[in-house]
Amino acid sequence: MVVQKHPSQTEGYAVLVNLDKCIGCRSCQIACKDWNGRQAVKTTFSPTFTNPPDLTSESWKVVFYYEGTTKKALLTPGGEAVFEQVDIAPLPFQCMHCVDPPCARACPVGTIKITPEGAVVINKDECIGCGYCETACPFRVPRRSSVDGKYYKCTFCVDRIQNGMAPACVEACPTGVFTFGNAKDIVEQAKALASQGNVVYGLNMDSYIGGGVRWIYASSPRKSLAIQQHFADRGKPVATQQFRELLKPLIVYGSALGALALGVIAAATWRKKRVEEKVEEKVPEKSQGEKTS
Amino acid sequence: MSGGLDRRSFLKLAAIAASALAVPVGAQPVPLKPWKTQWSLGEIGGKTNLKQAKITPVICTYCSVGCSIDFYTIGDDVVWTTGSPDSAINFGTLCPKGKAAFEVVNNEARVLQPMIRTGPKPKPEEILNAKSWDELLELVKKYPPMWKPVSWDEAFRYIAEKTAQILNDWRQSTGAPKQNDGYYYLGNTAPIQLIGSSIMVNEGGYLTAKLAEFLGTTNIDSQYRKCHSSTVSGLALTYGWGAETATLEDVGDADVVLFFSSPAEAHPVSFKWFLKGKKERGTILITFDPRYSRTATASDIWVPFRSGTETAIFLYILHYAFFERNPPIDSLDTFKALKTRWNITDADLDDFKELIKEYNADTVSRITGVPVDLLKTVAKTFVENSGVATNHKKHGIIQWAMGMTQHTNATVNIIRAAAILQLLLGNVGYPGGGAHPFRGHSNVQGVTDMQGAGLGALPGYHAAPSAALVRVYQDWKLQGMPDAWNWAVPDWAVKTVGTTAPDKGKADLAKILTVFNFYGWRRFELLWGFFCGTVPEDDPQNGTIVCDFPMGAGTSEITFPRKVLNKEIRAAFIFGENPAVTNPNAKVIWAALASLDLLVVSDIFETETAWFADVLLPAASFAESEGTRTNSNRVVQWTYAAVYPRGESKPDYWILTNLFRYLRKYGAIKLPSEVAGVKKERVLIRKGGKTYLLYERELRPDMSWDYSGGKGAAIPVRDVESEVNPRIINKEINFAVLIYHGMYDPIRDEYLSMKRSLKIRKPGEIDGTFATKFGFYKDWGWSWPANVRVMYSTTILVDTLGTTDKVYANGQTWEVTGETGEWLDEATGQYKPAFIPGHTFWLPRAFKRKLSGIADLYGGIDMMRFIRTNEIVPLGLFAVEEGGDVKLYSYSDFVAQTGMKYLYANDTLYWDQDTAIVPKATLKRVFFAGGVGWKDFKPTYDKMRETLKKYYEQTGNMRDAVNNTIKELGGWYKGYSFTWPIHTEPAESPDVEMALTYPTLAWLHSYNLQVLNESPDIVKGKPVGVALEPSMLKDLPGELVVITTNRLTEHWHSGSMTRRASMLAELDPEPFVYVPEKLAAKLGIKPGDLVEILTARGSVKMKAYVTKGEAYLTVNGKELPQINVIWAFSFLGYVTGPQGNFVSPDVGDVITTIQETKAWIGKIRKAEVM
Repeated sequence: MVVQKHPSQTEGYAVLVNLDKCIGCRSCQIACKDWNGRQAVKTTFSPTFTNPPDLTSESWKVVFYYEGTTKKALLTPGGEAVFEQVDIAPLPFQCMHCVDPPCARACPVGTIKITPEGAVVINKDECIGCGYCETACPFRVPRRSSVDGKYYKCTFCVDRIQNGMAPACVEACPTGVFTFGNAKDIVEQAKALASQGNVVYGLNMDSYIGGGVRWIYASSPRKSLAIQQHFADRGKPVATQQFRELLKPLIVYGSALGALALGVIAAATWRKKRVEEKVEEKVPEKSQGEKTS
Repeated sequence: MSGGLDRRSFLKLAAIAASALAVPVGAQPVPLKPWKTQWSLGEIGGKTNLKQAKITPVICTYCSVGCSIDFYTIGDDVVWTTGSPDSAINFGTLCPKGKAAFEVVNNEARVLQPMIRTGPKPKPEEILNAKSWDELLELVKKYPPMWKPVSWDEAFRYIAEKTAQILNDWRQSTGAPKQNDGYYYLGNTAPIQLIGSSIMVNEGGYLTAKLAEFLGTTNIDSQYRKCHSSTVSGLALTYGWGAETATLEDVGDADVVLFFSSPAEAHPVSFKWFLKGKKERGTILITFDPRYSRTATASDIWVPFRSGTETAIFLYILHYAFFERNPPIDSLDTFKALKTRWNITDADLDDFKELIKEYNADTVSRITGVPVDLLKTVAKTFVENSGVATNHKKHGIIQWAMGMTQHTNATVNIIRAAAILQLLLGNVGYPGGGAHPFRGHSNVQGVTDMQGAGLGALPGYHAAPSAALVRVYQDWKLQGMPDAWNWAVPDWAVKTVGTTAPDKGKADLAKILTVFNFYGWRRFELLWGFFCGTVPEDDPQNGTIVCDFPMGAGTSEITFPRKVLNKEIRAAFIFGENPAVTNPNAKVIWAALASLDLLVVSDIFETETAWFADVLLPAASFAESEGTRTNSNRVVQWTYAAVYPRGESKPDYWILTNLFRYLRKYGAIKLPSEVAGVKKERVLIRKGGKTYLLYERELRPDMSWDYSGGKGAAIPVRDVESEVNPRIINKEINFAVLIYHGMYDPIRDEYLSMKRSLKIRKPGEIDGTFATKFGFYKDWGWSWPANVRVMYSTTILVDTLGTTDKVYANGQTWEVTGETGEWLDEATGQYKPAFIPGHTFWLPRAFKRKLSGIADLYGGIDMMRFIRTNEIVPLGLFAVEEGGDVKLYSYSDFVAQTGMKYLYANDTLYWDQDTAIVPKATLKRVFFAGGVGWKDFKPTYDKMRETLKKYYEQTGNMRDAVNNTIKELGGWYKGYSFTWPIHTEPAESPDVEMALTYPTLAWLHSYNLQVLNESPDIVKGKPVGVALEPSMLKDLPGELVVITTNRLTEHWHSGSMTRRASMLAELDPEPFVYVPEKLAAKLGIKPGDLVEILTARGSVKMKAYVTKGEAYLTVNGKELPQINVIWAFSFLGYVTGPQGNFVSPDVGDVITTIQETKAWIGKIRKAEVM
């Protein structure tokens, strides 16, 4: 396990995902695949329309579609007319880039880096394919490639954002769903949206991920069914990883403390021995004139 | 010293202790390992060479938004593509199709060589007999094409020889082009059909029209037929032009939008403007769709309704406005102003209101299935946010596409209703208002313009000649090509022209439209080396008619298959189009394609249509050729060639030009002027009783096809273009096609379509206030006409500013009230406002010409030579009346006298108050002559319904009832002029009571009667007919459903390109059917199960997408579910699947024949497992 420095939620970059603007076109899904040189694969009909049905080692960004019912209001001169009807809401999903990513902590060989921008990047050259990151991730993001056995996921387009460009999906989106900017500003915008009654997901989260993520989702209450359904079983701390992490300090500190204690005891023992030796040395000098009985 | 812990051990322990504490140390979380923190551009995906790449802007090949894609290339390799950040249309963004567009360029499925089919084709009867898609698939497997690759020369020779044989047979058996009164082709009798393509650049589309004219056929058509042909007719006849009335950006200024299509899926980049409106002014977005589309997702509310009942909805909204609203809109001052502006009389309004009275909420709810409360709420929302109700502070938009256009009653009822609604609600010609038909192909607007909307009209919508009009035309030429105000219509021609203002000095609509046509013919005569007139030229009344333009309205791409089956058409050239998948009732077109004597297909892939070809020609892809594309807003943009054509493929303009050469060489092309022995035209002018010779014009039709070379801005970009140069063709279009005039600046040698400027003009500049106030990019590309971006906006500045505006240009001050566009001045060569005081209906159709009665077009300068060499070679003289005498001037003397140095640039055309005032939009438009208005028709209407019902009850068969009714009453809907739209059922109606109460319009068109009565003979008894009402499906198992079709964001039309783009195929790998959850539960259908759809045309199986988002309505008191079928799949490609159009009906719109693929009936059940 690796402990790294990571920028706080108001340092580095972040992205506000405004679901009210999403028309589910999947340009982002393709832009990501194209920029990152990933392969398209043969798929079959998806009953939910989401295709592939989940993130894969080749599809680092997938638009998920959710169906439910919501209340819709039309403003007329006579007041608001409310109708309850079906809603199908899209949600573009990728690595959330946690502030304190558990995948990075879980990686035994330090393959996963957190850059100063806050991007959480698996360096594929160093990945040993152990899967600890997948287990640790509360969002089920890292995926194993069947071609080379390594794990892949969204890199926050680190090779773009470190070179003056926005992530590929942000650039491609025809309706401007993604706002990419300084995390401080994005978090402020998200907080403002929350205070206006919108549903915001990505702030005030568990310390397991550092209290929040860098890809912050926002939507009006009307369009929030996607957030509710998508994150219903995602985002919660992973117990096994938590346990490992609990154990680690115990073991590490425990062994360090133990080693220190041993060291102290050893030092004390050595000193005691030295004192004894010194005392013995002094005694023979005295017996040169007299014999001890 | 020995004993206990020594120093070394202690140090070791201490070190271990320290490291075990694992204190994070700076950037080295794992000690002794290099820690990567920086990535170079493109490192993750292997795109590290981007900085060395050349960037070429290419206009996307898919929809009509016109996004610009930057192609990054190194040598001839495409290393990356992305949206052009400098584009005023997409600003660096792209939809998924655009993002994956590069995948069709270096695609392993590309056709790289010309090929000839050596394997036999299935027999038409075999095809027509197939009862299911699976059966048809089996047939396909039995007849593989067995392609033989050949050289271009061999391919062209094969085509030319065969075509010559077919056309010469026709000429021999009919005597064509010799007629009783002269020499000309009746183009609709020619046995050859040209089809395609709305995704060709203008320079290619223009050549298809030219080729058809040279071949002598008017059987030419393209995808616009299936797309918006009904829109064009419906709107043109109401507003003046058949196009979107405002720009895409303008929708962001609307306050309410009714979507009748799904732009979020078919035009994703357009959607940002709707969302901008939502954010800035709270625009209310309402989606009408049987399916919960992605547009419904982004809308405030979804209104599911029964496909085909749009007219009823629009009429209800008017009903609310006139009869429920208090006060009714016609009592408002704003309405009174509209009455004047749109020429609405009280009598007309009364008649219309009588009709509207019948469409109350309960009636319309019964017809459409929309619950009354939702209907009322939506109507109220729309009207109360419209111009008339808000003193033009707010406006509403109706947006539509195939959902409204693909019906038998689209032109006359549905689109007319929408157009009228917008007129009466004060939503047209104002910012944020308008009619927004979103077009579907990257150059459908352009190719519609270039093919004149097809069927034999000339590029730019100048109607084809008729023998009688040719005589009048010759007389018009003798009068010196005058504009309508300078033209004196001779007595013998008054009836033919139909004018009430024949005298010189006056002009009515009939005169203006006739001159518009004549003017177009003259331009093409000059640029094509044609002759059209009489011989001798000075005897128009009795001379022999000789006309190289073929006459007679031709065959559309919907009606052509049955003509082939009837052996009237024997050869077809299909360019860049896939009608085997996109035509309705697949078996009929497949049988036609299989039975042609010669089928030539040009495409980038072996499409399902190409599968039938005798000769398959490899075309260059959109990124491999250059030229112009005109988007949905009439903005013409230059697209550049990013890479070289793959293999031996060639750009369309090269293919068409060489095809012409071979056809000519092998005798397939024989012009009537040649057969009549006419080699020159004596260009005469008659003044004061005497005739003067201006010049002798040598006809040079072959030279008009020489597009080699090019100078200045037209220097060819590659060897391919040095053979056939689209930059020369572009210039020809500029000078030949009036509405495109201005796209090229001959004085500065500039292609205005190449402009890529984000400049917003400032007040004082031409359209500066307009651009600043409304945020228009007037210097991004060029739009027709004369760079006007918003049509019909004559008073837009007055209405919003309260005063007129001042423009300083060409050394003058101009007072303008709307958008004027710009036009070159023939004396100074500077730009000045074009349409004073603002663009209005019928411009530039109505124009004035300073050289009227003086000289030939362009002063008789050899424009054929000018566009090729930039040289000005004057051929003709100028006849000027001076104090009772007529003096003939040479070009240089005339220019010295008048100062018109640049008369060749604009042919001295101009617009003024006269041209602005005379033509006005009219609310009332008679579609069928000899009919009456609504009030007078009502008794006949009731009689018709009674008669139909009587025969239905007698025979129990709706087809017999229809035929008997027609027989008894002497026609269908006989006596109604269809001035006003009414609701009529689709040809296949889901409710027999509805079918009897609102009889379908279909049988007004003879083609539809062919479908009804199984014509031609080869289709008799085959499963290719129509089920007029549910009892005709009683022998089929399953539940009755209304069936409609839709598109998905990820696939485009037939899928021939997108189903070969791996990234798009991954998203939507199979076709499917939207099944309402309630219906699925009833039939035991689970998501992903195979369902079977059974119709009068056979059955198809597809997977079910089960959702609450599909209409399950109460129509006429009964439950009626609807299903949506994906039609973008067929049997060839990276992903394949059952074809939706196997089961759609091929009846069509009664005016334009666009197919009724949006409303039909069938049965659905869970597919049986064998």
